[in-house]
Amino acid sequence: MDNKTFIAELHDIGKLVDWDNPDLRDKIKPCSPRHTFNNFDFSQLSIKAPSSPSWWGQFSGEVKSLTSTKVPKDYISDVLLTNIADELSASISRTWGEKKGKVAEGLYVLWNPDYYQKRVNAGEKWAAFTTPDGLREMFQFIEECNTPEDFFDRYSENLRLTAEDKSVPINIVDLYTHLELTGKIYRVLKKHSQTIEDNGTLYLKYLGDKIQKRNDATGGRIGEPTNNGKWIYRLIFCYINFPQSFSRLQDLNVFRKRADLIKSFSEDEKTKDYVLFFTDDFMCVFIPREDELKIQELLQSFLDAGFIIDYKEMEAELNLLTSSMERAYVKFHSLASSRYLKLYEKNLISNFIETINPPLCDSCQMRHGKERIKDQVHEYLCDTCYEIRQMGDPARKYAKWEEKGLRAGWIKITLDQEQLSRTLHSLYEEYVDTHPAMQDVSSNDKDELKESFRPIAVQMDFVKDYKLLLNAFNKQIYEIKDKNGNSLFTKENFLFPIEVYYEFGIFKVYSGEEILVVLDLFYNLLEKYFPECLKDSPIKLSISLAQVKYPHREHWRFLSMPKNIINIQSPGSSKLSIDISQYKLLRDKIRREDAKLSHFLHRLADIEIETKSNMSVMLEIFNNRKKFPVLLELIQSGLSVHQILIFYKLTSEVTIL
Amino acid sequence: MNESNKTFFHFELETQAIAIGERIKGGVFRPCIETIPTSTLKGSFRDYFGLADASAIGFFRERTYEKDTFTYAPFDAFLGTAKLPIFLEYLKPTNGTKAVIADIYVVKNGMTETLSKISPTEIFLGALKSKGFGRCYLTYIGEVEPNHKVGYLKGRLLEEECNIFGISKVIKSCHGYLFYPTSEISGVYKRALFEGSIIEGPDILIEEEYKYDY
Repeated sequence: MDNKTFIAELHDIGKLVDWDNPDLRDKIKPCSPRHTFNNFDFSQLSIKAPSSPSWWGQFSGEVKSLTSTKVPKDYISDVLLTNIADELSASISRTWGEKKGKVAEGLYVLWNPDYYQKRVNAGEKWAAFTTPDGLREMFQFIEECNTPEDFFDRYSENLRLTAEDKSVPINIVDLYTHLELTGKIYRVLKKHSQTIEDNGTLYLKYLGDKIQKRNDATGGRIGEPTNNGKWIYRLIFCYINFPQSFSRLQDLNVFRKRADLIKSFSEDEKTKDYVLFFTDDFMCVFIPREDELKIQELLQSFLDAGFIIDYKEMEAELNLLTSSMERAYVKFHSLASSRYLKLYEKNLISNFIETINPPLCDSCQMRHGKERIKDQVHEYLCDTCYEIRQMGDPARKYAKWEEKGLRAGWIKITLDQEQLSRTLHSLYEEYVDTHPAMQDVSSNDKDELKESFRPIAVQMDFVKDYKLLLNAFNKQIYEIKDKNGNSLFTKENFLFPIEVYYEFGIFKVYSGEEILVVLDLFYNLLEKYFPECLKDSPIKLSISLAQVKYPHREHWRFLSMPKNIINIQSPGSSKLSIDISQYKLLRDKIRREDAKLSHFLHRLADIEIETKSNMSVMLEIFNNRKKFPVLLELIQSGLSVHQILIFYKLTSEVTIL
Repeated sequence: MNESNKTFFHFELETQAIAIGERIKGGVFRPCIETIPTSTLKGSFRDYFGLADASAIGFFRERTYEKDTFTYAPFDAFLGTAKLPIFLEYLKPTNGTKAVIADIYVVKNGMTETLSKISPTEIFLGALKSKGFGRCYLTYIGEVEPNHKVGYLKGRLLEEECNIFGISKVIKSCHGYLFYPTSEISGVYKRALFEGSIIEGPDILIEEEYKYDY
């Protein structure tokens, strides 16, 4: 037995071969299906088949049982587990057949359909192997590759442009993400199962359930009555929250602490495969049942640091697990199925004691506070919160912003995971219904395609692009020029208080101009990375504007609960929540008007308060339609007079709040 | 836990300005919560009705209130100077409403029976009573026997009060602490269930139904 590691990710390396390239097509005969090489005639290349463990991954498509004799006994479990993991990672359940549209070139990114063409125009290509020599290189790589990372590093560009399945509408996940997911799931399944031999017969055993065939482990489709599906796993969305309130700037260190913990958890050899994807406040994990792995023990480091983990847990037969949890739950219960699928909402917290003698910790209010004195200020803090305070002085520069009348804008970009799931579903359904390559697919089959959608890999891809947007925001904010060609923002007046945490920043606001350019940058980046999400974006921006001394926790309260895509507040005077189309309209129309508009808008607002009648307001607008023609248009688009007035005030050249 | 259904006395509370504060979390801002915890009402019912141990909980009615801030500088009697100004958050009637309205539910038992006979009464609740905050009118509405439901808790109560309020199961706890007086000058903080906890109990305590497994 070869001591090398079995690398499940390599089973799909053949998808990087371009068999339509004449250099290959006319010289070498492929296998069927073309991306596999288990029956390949190696004499065509005058080489021998590889002998590394990973080579046997090529058989994963046809090995559906441990009784298969095509793979040596030493590797048959790995190959079967790869098959199971591959099925779970696919964006469409493969168990229901082959009802799909035509093959299309390249990857279709649901939120950015032009992505593939742009990359190709930039000189990138999906195919890594286009000649007989290329094939030799591939087989040599299968023989010699030592880690999944080597594979991803070497073929990153190709993997990111290749669809896992090239048929519409399944060509929505890139091979990189699909294989990342397959590799993680394979290793988790392997870690928690044992290969056993009973009377000369091989089994895979997980929590007492022995299986031989793939379907015994995974079960069938959601509507199929079956006694299979013996392996039950959990997919969990963890929201990592904290009880601390921000009364001092040092309390912001809690973000760093959280980011550090998530990073180390998702990089630690023992735990990294459980984490399918993560953001700065969220992790999606795939783990076995509680009897096998206690979630509290797994996430203890977060609890020890004082975090509270609110989580949604789907516990189900492998083939029923999906990240669109609520949707699957409703569907499952509509079928009155006897299969196993549970959905829970739970949380994990430290062991909070029943009674605390005063004083309570000023910051978290969950533990006893000890007196701490700094600069003659007495505070009561528990050890956990005090430790956070001691982590350093973030936003030191902010503490020194003392210009008279200066306002600060606290800004937060948020990815709403719940909405992301809904948005991906609706984008996928639109793709299924409208793409020309789907014309020959019956409406029943389209319905089945929609029903079988598994968004997890697509979600992973989306999160990767979200991180690109955040990085671009951090970079481009300092490239914005003022009227004189100087940088409007510098590291002195636009701060990201926590290193590499680009969801959150603080900037100086002298006039509405700063606010407008920040909003414009967000809009432009959203349009660049997520053009199909402009109507219903799960990515939101909030800005809270106030004097520098305004309570930090009140900024945060607003920032952490975005109501719409763009949210701005100036405490005590105005609050605005609008979608992207409303922003675009306001941006295009309002700024072109002169200052008289302000007076007119104030008059309208007064009329609205006094008469409480929308009709009176409309009448006034109608009577002044020649003076202010844009107002009628804005009102007809669903904006209220108040919203228009607030936008005008927030973004005007001079501070009028 | 006891699953017996409870009966409650329902009161309507009206006020022009009220500040039921979260504890002061350092700094100069005192935020206000949007429900009335059992601990707040217990003290008030003891002071105004002489009920040593009444169990009651309250919820402000949506769309009757909005938040505002009031700035004041407490006086330091020892130094004879004003302290740093404090920003107090409070609830006031929203545009178009006459008063902030809350629903108060008192657990019916032998001790609280007399409450059903009271006429509209003035009581004071919350912070800064000396500045005119917290002046409330309490009016008895009637008796309610709520159905049991599983859902998200919309108020704050001590964990040890679950039984008293007819909560038969706590499915998910969102913990916090409420002050519990042990004498006239001292007290302790007791573990409590806060908004967002998932419970099985009277529907008057529930904001939204929970539809999944537990």
